[in-house]
Amino acid sequence: MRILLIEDDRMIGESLVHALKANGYAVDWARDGNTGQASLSTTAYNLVLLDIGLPKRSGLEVLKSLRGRKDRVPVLILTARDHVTDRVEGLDSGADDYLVKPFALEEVEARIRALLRRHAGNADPILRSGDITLNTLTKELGYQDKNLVLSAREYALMFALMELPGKIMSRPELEERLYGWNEEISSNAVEVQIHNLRKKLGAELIQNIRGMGYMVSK
Amino acid sequence: MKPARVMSIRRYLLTSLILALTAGSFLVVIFTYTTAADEIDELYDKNMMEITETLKSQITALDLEDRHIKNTVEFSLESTIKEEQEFLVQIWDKNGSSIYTSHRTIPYPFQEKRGAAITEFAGEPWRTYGVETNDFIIQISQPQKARDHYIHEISFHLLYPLLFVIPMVGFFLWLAVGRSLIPLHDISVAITKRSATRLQPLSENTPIEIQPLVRELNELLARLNTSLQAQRNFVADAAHQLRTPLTALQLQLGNLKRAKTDIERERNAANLQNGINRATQLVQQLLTLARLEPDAAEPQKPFINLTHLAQHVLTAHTDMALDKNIDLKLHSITGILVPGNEENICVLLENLLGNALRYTPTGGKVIIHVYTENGQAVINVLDNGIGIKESERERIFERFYRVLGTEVEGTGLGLSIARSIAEQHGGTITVADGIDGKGVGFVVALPLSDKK
Repeated sequence: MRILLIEDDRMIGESLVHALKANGYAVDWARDGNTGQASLSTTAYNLVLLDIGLPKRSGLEVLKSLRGRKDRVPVLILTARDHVTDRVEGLDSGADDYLVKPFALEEVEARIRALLRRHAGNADPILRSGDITLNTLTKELGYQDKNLVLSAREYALMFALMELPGKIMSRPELEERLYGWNEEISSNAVEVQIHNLRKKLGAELIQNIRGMGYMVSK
Repeated sequence: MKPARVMSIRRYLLTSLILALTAGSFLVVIFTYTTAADEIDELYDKNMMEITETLKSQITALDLEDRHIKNTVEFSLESTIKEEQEFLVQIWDKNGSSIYTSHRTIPYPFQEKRGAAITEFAGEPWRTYGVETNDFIIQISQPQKARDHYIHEISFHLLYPLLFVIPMVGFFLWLAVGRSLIPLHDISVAITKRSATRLQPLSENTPIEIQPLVRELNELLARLNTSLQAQRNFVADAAHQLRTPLTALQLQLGNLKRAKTDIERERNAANLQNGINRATQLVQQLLTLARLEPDAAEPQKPFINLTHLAQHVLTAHTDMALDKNIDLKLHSITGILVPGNEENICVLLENLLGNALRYTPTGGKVIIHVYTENGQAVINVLDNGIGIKESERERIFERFYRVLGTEVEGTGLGLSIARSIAEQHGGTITVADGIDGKGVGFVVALPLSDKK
């Protein structure tokens, strides 16, 4: 679950990055519009948190160029502009949701979850595939008759796999979804997470397709 | 201005105009009366003279023979002369015995003097004209009272129209004054309609007497509008700018509540403290700016020692300079005095020096020069830090403007405050290159104190 945060204020950025990482998201933080736009054109994100009043290139410009490329990544605008016209302009430019500063951590997190669910074509907070259920609110994983509350990283891994059951995710793809910029990744980090989950819930939970990657069965 | 005040101008104008008219009329009355009196006296004196002369040429001794009148009739007030055209005609012979009198009841005496004379008879002034022929003495007389009566009558006929003229003129004055005050009333109505949100200028299509007033009012309205607009923009900006630190505080607090370990808790608490410090600084600077509004009355001193003030501010920043190993120097000539608000000039110096120290990297240089030039006190704060691009130099004084890509925390208000203070003291602040063409230099020029 990789999120791009485009926000110029250092304190807001640091706090959001800290909180979102604790939630198991991989977060990249761009501090101006140009960097944000460059990141969006090189990396596939699951969600974008976008400030409007940005140096170098405004958030709305970044958003318009993103939608101009037919990129459908969910965008949540975070801004101090609270006029109705600002909200309308933001949403009409292609944003999926609009949050006015100041906001509570819980609210931005709930909106991120809702946007991710909706984008997966699923308003239900519980992702299902065969015997597996993943509750996006409580981070509980159910498999057959067992239940387990996942750690942030485990949750991110399972979410990535459950989003499109049956799709094979390569190790680099999973790493990209699990870790943000400047995070040190040990070479077998993904394997370790998968190993732990299999040990707790059974080896059939995640299938290894040799030479290609991992998947959960449909 | 209340309408009642406009009405009192009307009353004042009306009273004074009617008083002036009445006083003028009174003068006309006096002048008319005295002139009429003189003219009428002259006229009847001449009349008496002519009657006398006529009688003199026509009278003969024969006509009056045996007409000696016996002085038998008693004087009676009933039959005195009342009309102005009535004369007492008396004829005496050379011996002094009365031959003829037109009014037997009036024993007006024989006058020794010939020609015109004013005498007294029965306690009243009489006018007489006497002439002497070969045989007779003819004397024509009239009491002054009879003439006065006529003079009074004429004067009254001349003057009594004024009794109607004064109220009539007063009425037209009332209308005219009222009409000429309509533009004033219109302005007062127009001003009543003005409010903080409607400050458009008044129409200058007014009588020339009121035009200066309207022009001044319009200038005042324009100034008020500018100032209110600035105030509104400022409040909107401030509210907007407060959202950022508040958001940070809320997120920092959220993180603090979720901390799982003591180390994390401590780190998050430290972040929250930084957030609070930033919000506090912003609020303080907003208050400083509000205090610097042009209308704010602040204590003024005629003599502030700029040299001492610069030393004081420098001392307060020594720790900061030592922390970053910055070479901080002050070059000042002594005894430079400027008038103004000491606290604000101190804030101005602190903001400039604080900026210089913050934006100069470790091991850099900051120099303050205080001197006089062209009859002004000059403070020059120079550094060899990161500097400011030419294209941004005008904008850095705008409220909340921050140079892009700066890592140093700030509110974007410090230089805006510095400029407000310089302008409040009738001075200027400009930006130039810093030391050896590197960094940035701020030049503040302030008027010097008046010499005793």
